[in-house]
Amino acid sequence: MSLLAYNGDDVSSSDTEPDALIDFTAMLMQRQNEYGNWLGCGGKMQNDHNEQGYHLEQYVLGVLDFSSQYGIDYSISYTAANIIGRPTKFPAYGDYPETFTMRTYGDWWQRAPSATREIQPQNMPAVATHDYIVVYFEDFVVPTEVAIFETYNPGAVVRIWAHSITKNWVCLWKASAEELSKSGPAESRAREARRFAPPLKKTSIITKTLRIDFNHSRLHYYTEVDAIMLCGRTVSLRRMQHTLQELQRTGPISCKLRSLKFQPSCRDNYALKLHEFINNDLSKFLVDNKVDESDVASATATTQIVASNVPDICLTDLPFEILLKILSYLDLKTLFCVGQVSRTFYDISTHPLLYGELNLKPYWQLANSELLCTLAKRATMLRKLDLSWCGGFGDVSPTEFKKFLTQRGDNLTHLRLNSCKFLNATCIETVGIVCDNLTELSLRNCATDPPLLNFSCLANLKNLERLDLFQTAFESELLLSMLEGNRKLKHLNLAFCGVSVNMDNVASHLATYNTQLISLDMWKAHFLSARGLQSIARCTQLEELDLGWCLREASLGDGLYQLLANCPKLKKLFLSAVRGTTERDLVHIATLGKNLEQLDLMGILNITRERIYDILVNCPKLQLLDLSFCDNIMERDFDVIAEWSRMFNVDIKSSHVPYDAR
Amino acid sequence: MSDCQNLVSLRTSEDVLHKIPVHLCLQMATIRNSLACEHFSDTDIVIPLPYVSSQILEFVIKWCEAIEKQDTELESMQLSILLMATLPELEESELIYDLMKAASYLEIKSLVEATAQHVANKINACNNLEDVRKLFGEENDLPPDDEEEE
Repeated sequence: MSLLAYNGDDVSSSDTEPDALIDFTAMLMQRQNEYGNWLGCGGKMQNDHNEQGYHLEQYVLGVLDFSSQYGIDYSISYTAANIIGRPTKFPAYGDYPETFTMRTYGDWWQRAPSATREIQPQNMPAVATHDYIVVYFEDFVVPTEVAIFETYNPGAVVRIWAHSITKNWVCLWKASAEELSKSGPAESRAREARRFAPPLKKTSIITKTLRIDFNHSRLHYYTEVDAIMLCGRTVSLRRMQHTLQELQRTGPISCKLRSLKFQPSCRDNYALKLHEFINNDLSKFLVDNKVDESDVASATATTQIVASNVPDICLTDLPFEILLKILSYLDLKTLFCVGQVSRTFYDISTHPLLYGELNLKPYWQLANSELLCTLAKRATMLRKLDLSWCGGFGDVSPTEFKKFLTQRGDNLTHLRLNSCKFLNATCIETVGIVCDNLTELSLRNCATDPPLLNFSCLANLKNLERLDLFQTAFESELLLSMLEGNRKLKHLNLAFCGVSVNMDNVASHLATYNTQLISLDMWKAHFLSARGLQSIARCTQLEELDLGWCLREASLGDGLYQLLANCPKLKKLFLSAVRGTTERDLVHIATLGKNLEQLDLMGILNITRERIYDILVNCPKLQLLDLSFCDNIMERDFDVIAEWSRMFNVDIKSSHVPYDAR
Repeated sequence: MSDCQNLVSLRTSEDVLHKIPVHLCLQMATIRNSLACEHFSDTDIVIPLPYVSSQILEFVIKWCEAIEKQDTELESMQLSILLMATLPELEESELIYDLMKAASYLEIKSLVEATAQHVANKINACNNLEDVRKLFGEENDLPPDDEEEE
């Protein structure tokens, strides 16, 4: 049924621009199918909805990506793969290794010496995303519910995204800053498992891929997720094909209107009114709303009342530098919008000084090759670049990235490419060749097969102070030559570097070439022995050392003593599951760890009440003490320990569900 | 005149003399540099400020006093909050732009940051382009073209 059928009395020129009217009609039909009763006319539109689809509930089939996990890939403990399938522990509550756990919790990592500052911080949303996981399911559905089974410390989920078959990410739900702060202090929250299924945005997208975003800042300890369930109505193949074809057919106008919640109120003569709208007001409407992506996008206009008719600011009076200063506080998206205000604003908002730092991580779902191309024109003075999380699913091409870097990368001092799926061999080569002024290079979660970093071009970088290779497979030889070349290295993250790297060799290189090291993360590294520990002890400037799950086989010998004696500045020491730690070592910690602020002794068997007390008394700056899974501590001791926690004002973690398979 | 507190005379655009304690003036880099070039004698120094009106100078002095009381260095968001707390009358008026210009001329870094962040907040509070245009009294003089970027 078309609008034209109602045109009985309509005298207006339905002959003019008949094509436009027809297209609009077709689009309206599509809209009608999606929103139902959209026109408010209550008429039953004939539609091809014979295949109703049925309600389907499904669990995760596979994991596409995750920014971090606690366990190491080939293990079954605390890894992302545990999120696949039905829940194994829910509704039980506790610290179980059969769940998905991420690497960090709370703000402890932000308080550590290795903490970094966000590039272009004004881009960050009120509720930032710290970690994410991307999962896929078996069948396409129109989502009606997403349920996340949290079995330990619930409350970290902040966004749920769905990837529609039209290849864009849609945010189905996000936590507001007010909700988050209302949830109260971590300790007071109920210790019970939760099936978290927040109300989703009404949508008609078809999807089988979800991304869940987490924020750890309010967590008391690690959060753990057992499973994710996606519920929705199934969709026929025909409907999916139709949707995809629609996308190809419609032009930019329809696409834009599709993304707005366009709901004109028309009752009688609606055809006439719509006709008038198309002829008279549509172009203005489009111009006004072209770049406005905020929630208030309805055509029935916002009711923003400006206080007076006199403009608040007389633009012409303000000098250029001041306007530049004002715009420098705006986030990138607003900056682009503001460029559409007038000629003057366009000129100022495209000034290179506003593009000295670029952070596309908060816009990961929008970032694509065209955006990079546009930014390349403006960012002639680029110094810091963060493209983390961008370009998955092919939105950023390696060619465009290399072009960008070749044009603008030679003055870069900071480059973050965490979880960038578009990186390939030639991209890394370009980094090595072009960006020789880099002081910070972050390539977290770039694990690929074959390992990415066996490209000698990176050894060209000689000014590095920070190198972050968390969860990235790399080749020993290259790492060692990079250590040799970067004498000013201060922060090094080699967590999850895999079996091919011999940490003793790395340690002895550090002792020779990188004695200015301030922080070192060797989480789950292999082949570190007491000898390696002694080498590390030569880095006397060390303030942070993470040896979690290292040294599993060996005894520490003298190593820990030497480390503590030679590195008096040590503030953070993680010895999670370093089972070779003896009682004497604990005594040394107490006597020598004067500056310790964060101490993780998870899973150390020799720890007793007395040793804990010693440490609490003798380490006056201690803020965090993790005693989880220290099986020597008796059940009855925990009350005393809680009392000490209050007395000494130290946050003591004591997750003690008896399990030894971490 | 008073010898317990050194005062500096600032002549504003209306030719009015304001006597301001030196320690507050030291927050203004322009004045600080001028003072460094001369030494104090018994007579007060008079520094002309042809681009700053008396009203604006009052605001500036209030700001400097507020900053003196802070023991830590604040970042821009906090500075803008302090600005609204110290000078609430600016919220509804156009004077903020004169204040910005004065802050820039006198080189008071904290005030430049506070005012700039405040105006940036105002832009962020706008829901659409028209509101931003109204805020600045700008006309849309851009040629209509296709959406070039996201």
